[in-house]
Amino acid sequence: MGRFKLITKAISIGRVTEKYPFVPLEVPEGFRGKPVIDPEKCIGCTACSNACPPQALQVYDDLERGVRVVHLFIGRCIFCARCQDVCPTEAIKLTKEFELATLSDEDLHQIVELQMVRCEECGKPFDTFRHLLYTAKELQPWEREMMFLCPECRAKKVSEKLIFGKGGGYV
Amino acid sequence: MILEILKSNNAKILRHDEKVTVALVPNDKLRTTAELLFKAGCYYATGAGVDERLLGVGFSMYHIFNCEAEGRYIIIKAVASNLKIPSITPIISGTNWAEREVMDMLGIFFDEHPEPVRLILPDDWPEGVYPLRKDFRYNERPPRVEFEQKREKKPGVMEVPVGPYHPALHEPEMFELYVKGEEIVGAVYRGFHIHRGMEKLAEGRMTINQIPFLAERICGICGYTHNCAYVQAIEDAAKIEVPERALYIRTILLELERIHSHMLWLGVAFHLLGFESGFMHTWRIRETFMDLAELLTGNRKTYGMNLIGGVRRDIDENKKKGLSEILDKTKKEIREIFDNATQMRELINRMEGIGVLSKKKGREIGVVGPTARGSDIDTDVRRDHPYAAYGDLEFKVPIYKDGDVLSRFLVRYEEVLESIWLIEQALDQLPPGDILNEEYELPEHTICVGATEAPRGEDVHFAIMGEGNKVYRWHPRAPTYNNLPAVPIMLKGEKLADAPIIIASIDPCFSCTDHIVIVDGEKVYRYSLDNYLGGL
Repeated sequence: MGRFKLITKAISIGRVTEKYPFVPLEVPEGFRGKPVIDPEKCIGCTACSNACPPQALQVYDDLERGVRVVHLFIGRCIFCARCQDVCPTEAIKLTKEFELATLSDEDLHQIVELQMVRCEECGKPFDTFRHLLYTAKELQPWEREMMFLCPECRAKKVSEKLIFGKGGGYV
Repeated sequence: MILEILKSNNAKILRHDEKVTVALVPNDKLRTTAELLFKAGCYYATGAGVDERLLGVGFSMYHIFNCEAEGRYIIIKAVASNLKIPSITPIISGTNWAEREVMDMLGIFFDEHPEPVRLILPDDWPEGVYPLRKDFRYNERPPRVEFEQKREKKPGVMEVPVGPYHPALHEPEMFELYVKGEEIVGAVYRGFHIHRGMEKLAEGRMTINQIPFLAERICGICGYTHNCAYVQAIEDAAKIEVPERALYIRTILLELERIHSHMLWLGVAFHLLGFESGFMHTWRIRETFMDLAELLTGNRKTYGMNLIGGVRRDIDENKKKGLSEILDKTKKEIREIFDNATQMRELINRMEGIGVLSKKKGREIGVVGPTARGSDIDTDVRRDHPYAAYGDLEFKVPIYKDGDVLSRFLVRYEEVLESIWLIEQALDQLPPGDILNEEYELPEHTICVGATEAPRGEDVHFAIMGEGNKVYRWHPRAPTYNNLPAVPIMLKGEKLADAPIIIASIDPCFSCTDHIVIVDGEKVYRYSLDNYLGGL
């Protein structure tokens, strides 16, 4: 007897299967889909690559060309949106796109290259222009004169100053 | 009471607070301590071996007991001398797998273990290479070794393999059923085909706030509960105060997960019993819960909502309203389907009195969750060790006495309704405030444990904090790990045709259990095919 009720139930409900892929599927606001980096906003601070659990985002420096490469490989991505959380400039965002199947491996990579600053002393690239400008806002006036030095040269300069700056070499 | 037992056995108390007791027990007293704890009503939750050479201790074994009466976890630690520790399997059979796992992964040997053979490592893994030792790198691959398959045939008994892929659950497992005519006379489980080396990965490469996302991927159905258990373990170690609103949001999501998991199982059960329209209806209703999860978290599965100290997304008024509307509607629909289904005699007859697990045997193995509650064992982590917001909410724990498949079916059905009631309460009482507390300091080398009631039962995560934003050791234990050893007992003496529903009745989640093996597809295939042909 129970089963007849279920038959009437089934008839009253009708078809529930979606017509996807012939009709596009709507996803709600806040859906975690394919991450996309906005190359205009990215400053190359490496916050995303530090937070990324599967190491889908990697940031490395190409010292010869003097560029910092932000490399996103969606093949490893788990769509957790941690990068979106930690990005200070909202450069990386998860979109609503979820149809990521592709025939070419290249479609799964997004590479953003950012010009780096060379150290005034040793000439080694040490930070991106944008990140330097971003952090410059927070610097104290007396720190700004050493802005264009790499961390090693800066440390050297600071100790030199401490030793010789106050006259006599004793601190 | 627990302290007295420990002290009378010369145990050194390392940690004793509201929720957890850690004690170092001398090796000669280990067995008596375990026996006394077991007799005092604590059941064996899990065990974890740790390579503590970097901490200056050597190898040690942690046995974790769940004391429901006091609402605490008791961790007894034993340090191996010459890589040897007395086995407690002769006293508590539930220890069997935990000890064999440690034998495989760390090379600690257990004196007088009744079954000292490999459990987790594949047959082609070389002898003397122990992957969880600290001198083994997480991305190392030892060479394969050749091995010979040893098999003996029993006269008059036919062997029927179920696996290496479960026909209905689409998961790798392997049951060898020995049948005489139609009756099952014996069953052997072979598992751990898909070990993913998660513990090693977490300890070797990941930081403390990345592991929640790895933990979530232990299971494809109940991942969030693993995520919660891990986060709770770390919060327990660092004594982090989680904002109340975050706790309520966790509760809502945990219950949402329980509903969709139980609905999935109930659908599969109908499918295995040949009641296809029930299966379709159940999964149709389940779909609304998946959509709800997508609305709240941004994805149907793998919610990714937890961080240490809280949750990442808030539930705003709009979502709240949508949630309660859908709950009202689906509650009626669930009742309709299941009240009809439970009136069908042919359906009930296939579950009543089938696959019985007695209370005593269940307790010895340490079964958890609906499997335990169907066998008259009154256990529920939500009530016994209140976590998230369960302490403030009101709910019933359904218990059935018969221990058969029907009992487990009814327990799950009632739990679905209880979960809806829990979500309604949590939404109603949702307190205002922050959702994430990021100001905390992480301690070093603290032993901690986190537990949740997963849809399949108690889920325990054991951790030892490391230095500099890392964990030294992380050992998750999925509920199926404790429930699986009960299946061969349920199968004995039953008809072959009932085997699929009996195996499914514990709601096995093989991949969860196996989180810890390296797959060799070719070998598994050849092995089972030979068997199959040999058996015929």
